[in-house]
Amino acid sequence: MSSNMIMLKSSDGASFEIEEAAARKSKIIANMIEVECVDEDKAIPLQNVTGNILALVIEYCNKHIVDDDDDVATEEASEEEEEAKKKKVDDWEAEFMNSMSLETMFELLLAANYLNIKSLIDLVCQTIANNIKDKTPEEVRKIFSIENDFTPEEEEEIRKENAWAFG
Amino acid sequence: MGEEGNPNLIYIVADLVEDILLRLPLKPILKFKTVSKQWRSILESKSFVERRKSVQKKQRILAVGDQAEPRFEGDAEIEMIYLQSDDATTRPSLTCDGLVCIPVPDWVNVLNPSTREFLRFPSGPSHYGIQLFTEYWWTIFPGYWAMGFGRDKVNGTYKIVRMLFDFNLFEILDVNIGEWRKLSPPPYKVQTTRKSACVNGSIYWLDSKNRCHILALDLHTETFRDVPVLAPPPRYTPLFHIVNLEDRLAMVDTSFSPEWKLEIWSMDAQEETWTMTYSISLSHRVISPIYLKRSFTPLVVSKQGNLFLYDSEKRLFKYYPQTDFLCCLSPDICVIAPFIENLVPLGSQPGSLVPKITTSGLSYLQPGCVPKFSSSQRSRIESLIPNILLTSTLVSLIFFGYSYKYCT
Repeated sequence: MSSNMIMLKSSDGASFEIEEAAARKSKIIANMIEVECVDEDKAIPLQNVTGNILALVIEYCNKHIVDDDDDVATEEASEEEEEAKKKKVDDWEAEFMNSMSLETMFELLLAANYLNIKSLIDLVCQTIANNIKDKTPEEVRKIFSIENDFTPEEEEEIRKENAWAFG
Repeated sequence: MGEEGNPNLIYIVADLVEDILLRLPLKPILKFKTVSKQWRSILESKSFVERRKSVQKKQRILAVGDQAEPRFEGDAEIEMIYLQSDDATTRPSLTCDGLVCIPVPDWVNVLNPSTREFLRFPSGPSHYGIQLFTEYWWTIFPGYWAMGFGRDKVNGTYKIVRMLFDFNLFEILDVNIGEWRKLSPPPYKVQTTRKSACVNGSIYWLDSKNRCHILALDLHTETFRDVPVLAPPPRYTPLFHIVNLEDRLAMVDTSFSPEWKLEIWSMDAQEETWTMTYSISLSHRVISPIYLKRSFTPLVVSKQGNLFLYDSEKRLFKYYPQTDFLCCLSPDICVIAPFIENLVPLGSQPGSLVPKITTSGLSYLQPGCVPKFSSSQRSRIESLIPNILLTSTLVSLIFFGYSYKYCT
């Protein structure tokens, strides 16, 4: 693969240059490249992704494209090296997600979903899950802007059925 | 491009919510059912329950004990889940998909250890007035019924089957409905003193005359069929039995010449051929004074390809096929069965005749009375079991263990 650069344009008009190989992490963009609706000098407009989120997506893709290259370069990597490398990626991902607010995570999740980047969807979902697992239902409602549509009796009934989980 | 119409935002969001919830631990999943009606319906949906079953990383084994003080903590390949059981470790149980079915006198209990939901069905009067003769290696269910428990693959519902050949009684019960219905009689008698095995939507029993036939009941069509066993696996001892191993029907027995060996044969999905999948030398590895009274039951194969099995003397083993190495993981453990976390709601169908009980423990249920837990009782019990699961009335092959002791 050559290091073709392509341009992405966020919904708020910011332009980003990205290696084609990295951009291909997104199935949507990869498809666009396949069917050749990518004009060399024209940026691909991404209507649903703002600049600050797109920057994060690109950071993620760049990081992971480097890893993929490494895989090719050291085919005979020992198990230990593999493990060390996986740990490096895990550490990077933890650090990457760590600096993010829940709100940013949701926007990033929507962007990853829109751009169809499976591994990023998995990463963000797992991080959100870790973030909410110890929260109360009421706190979760706030985070997801959900209105409680149970009557107090209905809610009590479900609480009772699962009482041990609330302990 | 890019302008692909307005994607259905709500749909995408619900989809992503499911993706997030799928990655939660068990307790928050149950807790978050109270968030909203939409969340509850996601968490109780068939698709969520099925996806959740498939994302489980490690293989699990269910055993009797206290999660806080495990006999064996598990290792990199296996996770141990414990069910507390004070009294009834002598009862044989049947399991399928992480659900446990325990027939006790007067009742058949079905328990989902993951959600702690518990249903029980009256089993009616006993038909025999006297105690029948039994052998130490037999598995006897209350009332001498031949029992089966499994999942209807098409509807996803769980069903209990029981047969009493001396009285021409053949019945099936859908756990979501809770009523015994008649089955048309099977073509021949099966061994009532061995456990059945449920594989891929059918329950299998060995025929009573050792003609090497296997009787199968399709749990969806509720019809029996004969599975003719061509070139059947050899049988060496009265302890040979069938189990579900990795979603295949497997037959297990030990041979003695030229050496003591455990043989596991698996049947193909077409129910035509048997293949020997394991042949494990036991001589010089497992100390047993009386070979003939020792039976082995395979449990699961880990992602690394190693086989976990236990024996009638409550030992848990791990076998490494690549290096032909057998090691004992625990010398004293009451193993119940392979386990998966299953979030399926029990008895939730409209029209169900059975009131659902969510319980902290089966051992507190006395036959004939519907249990009521006071909150203090519940919290007391829960404080005994910090992390998981119940106290319960269990367990399967312990029967072998106990009766073995009486016999020797």
